[in-house]
Amino acid sequence: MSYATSSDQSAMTTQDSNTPVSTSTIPDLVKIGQIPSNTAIDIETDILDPVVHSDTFCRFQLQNKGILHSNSKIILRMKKSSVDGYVPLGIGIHSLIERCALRVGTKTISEIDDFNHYIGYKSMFLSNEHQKQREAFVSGRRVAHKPYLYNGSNASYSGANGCMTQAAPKIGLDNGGSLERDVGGAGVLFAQDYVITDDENGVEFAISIQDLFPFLYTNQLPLFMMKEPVTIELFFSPASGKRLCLSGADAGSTGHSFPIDTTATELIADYQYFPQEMMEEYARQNADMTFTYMDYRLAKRSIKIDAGAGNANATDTNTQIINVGGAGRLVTKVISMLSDDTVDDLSVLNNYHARACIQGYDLTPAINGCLTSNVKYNDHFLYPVDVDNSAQQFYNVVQAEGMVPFVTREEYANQGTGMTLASYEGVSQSNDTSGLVGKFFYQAYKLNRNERINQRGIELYQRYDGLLNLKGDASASTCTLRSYLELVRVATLKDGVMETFLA
Amino acid sequence: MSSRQNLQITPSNHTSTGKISYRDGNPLIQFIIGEQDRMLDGGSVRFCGQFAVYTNEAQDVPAASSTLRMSEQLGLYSIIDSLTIKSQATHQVIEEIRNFPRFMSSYLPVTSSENDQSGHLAQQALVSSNFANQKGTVVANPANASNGGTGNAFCINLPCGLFNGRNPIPLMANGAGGLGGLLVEIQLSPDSNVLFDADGKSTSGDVLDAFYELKGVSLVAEAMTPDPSVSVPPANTFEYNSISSYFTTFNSTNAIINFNLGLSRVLGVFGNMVSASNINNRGANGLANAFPVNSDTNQTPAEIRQLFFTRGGERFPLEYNIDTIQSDTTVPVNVSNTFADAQITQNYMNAIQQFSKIHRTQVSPINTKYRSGEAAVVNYIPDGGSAAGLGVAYDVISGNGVDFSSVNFGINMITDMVTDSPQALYLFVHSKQTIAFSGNGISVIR
Repeated sequence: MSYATSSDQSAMTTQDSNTPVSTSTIPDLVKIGQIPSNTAIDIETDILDPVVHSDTFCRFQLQNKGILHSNSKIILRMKKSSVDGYVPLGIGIHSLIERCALRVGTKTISEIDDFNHYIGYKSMFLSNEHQKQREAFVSGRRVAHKPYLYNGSNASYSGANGCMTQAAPKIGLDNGGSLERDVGGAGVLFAQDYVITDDENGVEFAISIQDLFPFLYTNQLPLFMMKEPVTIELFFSPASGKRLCLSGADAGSTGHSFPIDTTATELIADYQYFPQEMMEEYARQNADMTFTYMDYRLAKRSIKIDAGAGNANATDTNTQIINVGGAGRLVTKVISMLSDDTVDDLSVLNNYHARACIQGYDLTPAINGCLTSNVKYNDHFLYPVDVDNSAQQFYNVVQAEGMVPFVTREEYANQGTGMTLASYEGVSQSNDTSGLVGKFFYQAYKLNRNERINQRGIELYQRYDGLLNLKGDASASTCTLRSYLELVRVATLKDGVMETFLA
Repeated sequence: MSSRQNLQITPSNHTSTGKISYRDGNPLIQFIIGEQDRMLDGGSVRFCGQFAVYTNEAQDVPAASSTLRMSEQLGLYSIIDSLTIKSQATHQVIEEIRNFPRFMSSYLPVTSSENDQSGHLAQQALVSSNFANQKGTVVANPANASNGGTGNAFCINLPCGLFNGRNPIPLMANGAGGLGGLLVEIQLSPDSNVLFDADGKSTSGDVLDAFYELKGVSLVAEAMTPDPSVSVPPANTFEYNSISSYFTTFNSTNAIINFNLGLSRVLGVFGNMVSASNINNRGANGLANAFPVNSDTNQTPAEIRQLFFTRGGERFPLEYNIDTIQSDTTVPVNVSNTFADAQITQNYMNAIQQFSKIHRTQVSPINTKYRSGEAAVVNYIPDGGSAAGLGVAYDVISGNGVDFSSVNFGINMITDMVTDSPQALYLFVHSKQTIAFSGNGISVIR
């Protein structure tokens, strides 16, 4: 006997799993969406330990039973540490994952390199309310904002009489905590304890497997139909400097190593079962199953930053024509981001950011730096005129994702001095290097012509005019330009054996 | 296989300097989306460019301490006085929204939240969740500098029935089942209705000669080329939702408003108000949507005590009066209550978007409160500025609307208006319309 709810979830019914099921009523069980019938579903949860685990790698093997629920979670915990560290604001515990792969037998179904950078882009589309109220507790992602109301006559958050007023010239982070005021200076916001690894606790958060393998947002794995072992592999980021962030007070400990507590890592796998006849009939009807999905391929390029401090010495990269691949493939989207290699654990976002150009308000004339961008494929440019308007670039991201990023104007394009001077864990939120301003300048291009890419591949045209040198001693440094291609792949499952190829 | 192309269109009435401002006599921006064998994705149409504010002819940028402001609630939407969309082939008007900022001042606060205003709306439309933030980051942005400054980048959608509709807009010739291309005209608002002094001083300081300027403007959009292997017979009708605007004033305790809408499928009616003396006044925010106020020294609010809507002289769709909490004279604290009655606010929001589908909104008791009309009060409202208004939905179920083609629409309102203080009411009607096209041209069936 199992239990089910009606389609409007207003009534619960019982159903005998031995009830015969008509073949004509069998819905598509692996397609995520509503099933228009009063179908009994049993959920079985397994807690799986990794079959291999070190501080740099772990592998889980799933059991071939039922249908894997895409929102199954992987739990990760850090070891206690003598130096306090908190998970990066933008991506939370995802900072640990440098690469992830889903393999069936020896075949790779989905794999994302530099996953922590990729998820930095994706996390931008979670609303502020969602991050503050949910993700902060699940994955540690917590970029949420609020206007910082204060009395203009006193550069702090409370007026002389301790009362907030209506004016809020600045916007800053909102993590639910109250702002504390530094006497005579800017305000102070502290991270909540549950995002901090210290000498008493190691942070523990969960990662959804559909975040690791985005095709699972629209498909579920019918494990009961698969004969080969299904494994999830995680390659961890370096323990030193790339996992957690340090508070301003611990700046001297930069590069501190934060190991993973390998005893706590587990996969909480939810397997769904429909009535046995329905699953058998589904397997029989879909003995030769094919589905398409999106996979992401990374192309990287280093960009040189000239020596010299200040806006006056900002780097003009000139037009960089970067071939990001995709030859012969169906590519639907290109995502690009420029991360500064000198920025890591002293920044609230760690290295997982996308740099914008300068806010050159101390220059004459005062300017905002400018990214000029376009994409060329199949001998034609995507946009008829190179795009140099940051608001239009933001809109192009919206078009590509069908969703708006939830970041402020100064965080995205570094325009307008609207970010608070207040600190987060002792790090100024408005700091060019370690704060939030100009750190979400992700670019996305929707390749909307429905064309297969020719043998020349996709060429990204980008010119960053005005990149500030963020290195402490202002000597020459580098940034890394990461470009992810969204490729169409096809998977087939025939007689329990899965094959995959690029469309 | 069908494919899409990105279009970028520069104004057809381009100035030689590439700069456009109301002050310099270029109040009209015209874009031509030519007749072509493609369909326009209305939701992808964006108006892009750079925006700057100057305090005088020498193009000085407002200082951080300046009291010069613009509406934080509307941002760039405040500069579009009217939006007109015509058929390029026949120049027939398909849709015209006059008083566009007034429409947006109802639409935006109801359908977007504080985080939207701090985030994507700030990036794209220069809106902000707080007046002080908007002034500091847009009006007084140092990058406004005239001699090479980059200004404030913007890229806004143009909300209107035609572009908000789900159907692709056929750009083909009239005879081929299309509109024959589109002509999009943006009439700019006067500086005096965009920029104002927060302290109410219209003739001194930065506000006196302040003006705004646009440069590098363009219209971007996506067009779809239909799959040539799929033969689709040319359509002869195109259905879309439209916004029609009406304006009137009232100046009495018993305000009676009556319009012959001439529309056959009305989905909802909503409106907002402002003291008529604030319109085009550099000493006041002419785009604020506040409740009525009196003209006494303190400009006390004129609370609404009773409200009902009529169709052909009968109460409809609410068959009763909304007697607000302020009409309860038996309880003194109710009479002096400064919060708008929940029924007024709920019906207003429901008229703009089905109430149960409003997932993000700025409307709160803080910004729908009755307030004095003094500059020191109305220009310093937190939570994105005032979001007050009136409205009623006629059809949130079938989507077919109610026939007002031959009967009048009316609002009856009893307020505390006891002084001579004309109040401007901007009324917007959301209705379904149909365009019929043939080789002879198009006709709009309202």
